[in-house]
Amino acid sequence: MSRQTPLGSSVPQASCLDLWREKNDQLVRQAKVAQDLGLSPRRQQLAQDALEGLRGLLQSLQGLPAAVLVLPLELTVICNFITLRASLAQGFTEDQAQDIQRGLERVLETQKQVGPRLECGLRGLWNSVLHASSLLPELLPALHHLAGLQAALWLSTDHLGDLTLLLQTLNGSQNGSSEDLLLHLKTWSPPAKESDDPLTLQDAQGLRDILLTAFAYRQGLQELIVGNLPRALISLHEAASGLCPRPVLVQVYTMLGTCLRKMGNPQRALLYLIAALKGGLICGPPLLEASRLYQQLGNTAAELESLELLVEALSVTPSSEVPHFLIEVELLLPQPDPASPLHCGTLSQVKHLLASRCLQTGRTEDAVEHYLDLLALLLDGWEPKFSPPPCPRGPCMPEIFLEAAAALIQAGQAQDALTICEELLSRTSSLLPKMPWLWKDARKGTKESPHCPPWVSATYLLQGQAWMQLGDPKQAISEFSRCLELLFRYIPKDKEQGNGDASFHLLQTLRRLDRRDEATALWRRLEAQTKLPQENATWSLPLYLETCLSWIRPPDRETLLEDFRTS
Amino acid sequence: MSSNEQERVLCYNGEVLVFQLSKGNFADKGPAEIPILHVRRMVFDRETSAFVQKSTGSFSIKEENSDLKILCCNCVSDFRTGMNLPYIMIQCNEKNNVFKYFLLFLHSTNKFEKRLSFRLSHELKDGLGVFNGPLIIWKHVKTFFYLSPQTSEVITVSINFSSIEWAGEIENLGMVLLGQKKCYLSEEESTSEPSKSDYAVWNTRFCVCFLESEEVISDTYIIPPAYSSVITCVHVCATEFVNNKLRMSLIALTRRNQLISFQNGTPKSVCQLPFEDPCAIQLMDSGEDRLLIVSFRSSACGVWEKNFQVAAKWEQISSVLIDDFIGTGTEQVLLLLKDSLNSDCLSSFKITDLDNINYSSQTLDCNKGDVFEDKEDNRYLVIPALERRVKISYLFINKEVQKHLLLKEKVILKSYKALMNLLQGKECSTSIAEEVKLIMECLVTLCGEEENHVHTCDKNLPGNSQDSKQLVEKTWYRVIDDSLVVGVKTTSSLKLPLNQVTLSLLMDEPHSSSFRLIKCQNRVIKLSRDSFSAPFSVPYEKGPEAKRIKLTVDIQEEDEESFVCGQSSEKECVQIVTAVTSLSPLLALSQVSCIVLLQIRERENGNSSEHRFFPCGRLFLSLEDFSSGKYLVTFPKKPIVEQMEDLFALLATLQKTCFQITSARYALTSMKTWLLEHMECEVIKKFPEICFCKGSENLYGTLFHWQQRTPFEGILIIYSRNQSVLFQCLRNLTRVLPINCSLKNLKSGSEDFLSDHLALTLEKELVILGSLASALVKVENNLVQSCEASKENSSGVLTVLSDSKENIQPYREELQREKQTLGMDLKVSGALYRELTLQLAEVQLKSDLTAQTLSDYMPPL
Repeated sequence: MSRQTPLGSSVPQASCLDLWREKNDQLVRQAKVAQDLGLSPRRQQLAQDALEGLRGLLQSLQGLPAAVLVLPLELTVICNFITLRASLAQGFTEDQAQDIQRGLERVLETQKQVGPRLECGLRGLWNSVLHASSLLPELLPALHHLAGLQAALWLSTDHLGDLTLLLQTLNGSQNGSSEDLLLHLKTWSPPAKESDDPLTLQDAQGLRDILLTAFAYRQGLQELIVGNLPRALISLHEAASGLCPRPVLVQVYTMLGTCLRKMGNPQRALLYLIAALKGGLICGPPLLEASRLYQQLGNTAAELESLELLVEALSVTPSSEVPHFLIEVELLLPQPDPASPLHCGTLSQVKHLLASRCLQTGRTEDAVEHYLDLLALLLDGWEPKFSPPPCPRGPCMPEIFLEAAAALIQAGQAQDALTICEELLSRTSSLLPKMPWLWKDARKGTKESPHCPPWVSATYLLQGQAWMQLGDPKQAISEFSRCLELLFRYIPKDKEQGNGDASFHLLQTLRRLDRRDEATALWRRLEAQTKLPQENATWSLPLYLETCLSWIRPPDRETLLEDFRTS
Repeated sequence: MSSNEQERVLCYNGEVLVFQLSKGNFADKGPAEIPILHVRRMVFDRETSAFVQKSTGSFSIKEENSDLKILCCNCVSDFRTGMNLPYIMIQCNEKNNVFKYFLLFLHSTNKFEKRLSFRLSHELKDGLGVFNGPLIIWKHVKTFFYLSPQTSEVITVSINFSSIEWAGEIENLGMVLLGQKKCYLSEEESTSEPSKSDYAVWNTRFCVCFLESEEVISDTYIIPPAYSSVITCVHVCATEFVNNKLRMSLIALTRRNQLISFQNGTPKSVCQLPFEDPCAIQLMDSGEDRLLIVSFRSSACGVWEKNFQVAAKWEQISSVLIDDFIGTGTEQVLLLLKDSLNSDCLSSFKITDLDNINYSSQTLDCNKGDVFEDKEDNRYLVIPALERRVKISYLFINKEVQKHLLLKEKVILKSYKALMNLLQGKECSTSIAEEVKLIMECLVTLCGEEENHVHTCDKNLPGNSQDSKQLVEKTWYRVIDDSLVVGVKTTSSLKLPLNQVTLSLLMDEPHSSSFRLIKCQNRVIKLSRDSFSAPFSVPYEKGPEAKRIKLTVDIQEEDEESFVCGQSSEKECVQIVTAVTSLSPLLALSQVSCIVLLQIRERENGNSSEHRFFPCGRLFLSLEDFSSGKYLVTFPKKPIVEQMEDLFALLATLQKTCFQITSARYALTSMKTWLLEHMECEVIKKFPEICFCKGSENLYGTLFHWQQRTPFEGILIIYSRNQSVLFQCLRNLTRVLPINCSLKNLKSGSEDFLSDHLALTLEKELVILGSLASALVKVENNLVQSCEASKENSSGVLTVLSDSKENIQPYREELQREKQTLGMDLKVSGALYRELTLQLAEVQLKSDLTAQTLSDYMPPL
């Protein structure tokens, strides 16, 4: 029944401890070999095998009663396992916390202290272990290493309180009142590795450096968002002077640029932005920041050039770096957030920014070109389709259409503007209820965008303008009236600013056509409206209305109204 | 009735044997029944998927008034025939604590044979094992006993085993026991440090000994002693006795719910079992892959032998039997379900080989498949697709990287240009050319034959001419080991190209008016006193220069020096020219008087260069000075060399090696910290660029000079005593450097030198092109002029040129164009043309080579 299992001819003489240690070293070497392979399927396979090997080794070690002599190796294997696993998965999970917990329990097992302390969670466990480790100095280096990983895990999950306490205990500071985590990290000096220690993928010193940079980065970003600029500056300098990977350095330099710009040091800010651009593959954030900086300095040419470069940069998909089998700074950084100063948006967002800035700064030709590009990009199906609900950030499709139309009119391409407007109307028509009285209900039901009618009325307004430019006042009047009709119906309370504008055009045109009665009637209505309290006086106009408004200079407007008053 | 029955199942030759013991009913006052042991042979019928009875047998136990109990049943071999037979062991509880035991063999004729029968004054409870033979081993009060038909009486095992895990026959050796033996460590051993080879002092260890002689065969390479406290069950797979060494391969279960295989005492594979308290291992030969079936109290699991992965697990199990029940030639596992309401134990079961054989009386809770195998299958399906994707992505990424690089270059160029347009520059700081010209104008030129002008120089010397005063701040000398170091500190306004300065020592010949040149090695050392030089985290923020840059639109040119280099301002630099010479020849003379002469070579035209000499004073060395150690620099024992001259003497004599360190991923901004902390260095206060190593004996006194050029690149100069120290330094350093760092030994000379060289060859190229043009039938054209213009610019352009060879290209192209516009119908002599073209090709080759070498210095983008 039993098949003969061949027995190895060579007789291994080494003890288990040597054997396991050798196994650990071999697996670490294997992972390091894999790391140098670059992007290849073999790399992943080797790394995965090494991970499984470490898992098996850990099982072997933990299948025995905990022994102080073996624990340094066991803890090192745990550290290697966590490091490789987290780096392969590009993040920490609950599993890693459990691995750490098991390691700590094993330490306590040697002290016969397992039991009641488990209730206090990892924090309590660490306290007990570090207390116990004063009796076991030989465990300290490995424990510091494990603590480094715990710190990384807590930093990445924002458990800063736990982290501070852990570092305080590690540093042996007695109930240190200082809450400064950065200081704790700096004072933490994990024992140096001996040359005959088992191999590690990353040592405690390396972890500390990573933690320092990551924490300084996080703190700097936080302070920057909150607006505590001097403190942000200190933290960011700290991050930049530590062990900082290229992409992170680019971000830190960009943040330093933002910070210095806000502090009123545009020159220094610019130096950092140049350094950021020289630094690495990612040039989006520094370019956007540069455009903000130039905008602040009033240097429109440079601002727009930055934006153009940014558009170009974003149209190339960034090549991602091959991650190392280490806990790296990037792993501990907060997730990208649109509110972050480092967020540079999508290609279409930037393109829109560029187009609108061109329009705002009077570079109409460029604006037209960019708007048309943008529309082509958006309608090409590259970006999410036409979305009626207003996006919380950035303009939505109808607004882009309107801005494009305004830009076209501004550039004297009225016919093209009309085409754009028609396109918009055809797209919005499905959203507008056919019967005007249904609007109210629809608005109550909030099923559709409250912005929709203003968009449509603005479209009429622009169409009117375009007809004016084409020298067809009749068409213009009909468009203006449609605009007004829509607005007056829609906005008895909402005092949309655009209507004033449209009425105004209507007024002007009526007068030009010498239809005095209608003009006067309209003027009366307008007068009545202007007497209503202007609650939204500070509300800024959308760009397309702003552009429209600029077509009639205020003096004209006042004189026109004055004419009516006197007449 | 069922309460009076004890039932056991066993498998044998593909049949299931069901033993039932109906014992006498004591409670009833009626006539006592004679206890009978029944056996039913059941075979599996594949048609009906059920077990059917094949035959029965029975055995009457004529022990009256006794409490009967089935102790165990299994199959062991009978030593008479060597055949494996099912056995059943029964205990009779007689009066007065006397226990009687039977071991019955069941033969194929359904006849029972009473193979062993014995009486004991104690009950068999602990450590009972029935092994081939049959051999019965048990433990009573810390002592093991055994009995077999051959021994005929109970024998005490004298070795103090704490447990016996296995007994069996090893080929050529006979019956052996495998167990854990207590070992009493001698006083000496137990107090000594726990040895590494046996990492804890375990007081028990596994050993194998002969059954009869109780001689220990081996107590190593079985199971490591560390496992002694956790092993609960051992299954020996193979044994071998070769060259007086016992080799064993075995599988064991542990208290920590692991299944471990050991080979010659080495743990090989570990499997964490899915349930608690494993109690038995059985092997199942199911064709291709063998399975280890581990049974637990009420569950079981199968583990692949090849990879020690759990293949299946079953719960609510009462028995696990392994045999070829369906007669396919391979084995299956038969799982009998627990708590079956049906009195027949074979009414609910499952037969499986974890492959394609699956029979079941009812649906059984089996987690096989969905948990383990599906996953694996899916994984295999996904792999080729993933591989294809990876390949495609790789190609894509490759393309993207190329695109990206191009774009990046463009971005940087554009932003640089944009910036240049905005920044208002200061006036160009005096370039090298102007500087040199300035010096030339205000200094007396010492030309002509060497001997002559040395004399002239001597005449000028006593007064320490004004010219040299402006140039030389201080002259000093030191003695280190066997060397005399003479140093001249020049004014910082003098910017010396490193290869164009020599410091010579001219010794007075005692009885003549001539001089003898002493052979020296020269070195130019520049050190910054600026404390700003340290961290690169603050890019370009170096003093006031950075702030002076203004951001306005209409600026054409930017001052290269202050902006791009961001170097500390030149004023804070100390520049020393040193000459090192061997001391011993000088010691032969009681008194030495030397003239220290600084020589600067300047290129006038492309070909000839002009030498200028500046006397820097006179040295008087006497034997007394040497012996008194007046100027002796002992190798610094105190960590800090604060005396400037001492430091420079060290820098001049120590072996200098230059490394370019580039880091692909991490910024090198912490380099200084690494030097200070990891390399145990200390910054020399007066010259913060220099770090002094206070480390171990060998490295002590090594000097480091770190210049960061970009966050990811810098130059590290190591001044070491010898090669081996250098090697140690590098070895230590590589440990602390971040991953993907590369060190490059800059052998081919400094960058400055190369850029000068490049400029020179380019200039030659231009001149040749110019002469080519002028050779063209006296056509006066602007080509030569432009050549000259470029020549004039060349020194100013130098700094820019040092950037890359791309910059050369436009010049070449321009010339090419010029050449073309001149027209091709112009006449020139063939020989001359050939000669010139050859010359041109040679020079172009040279400049290309230099440009290539120089491009190696460029930081990677």
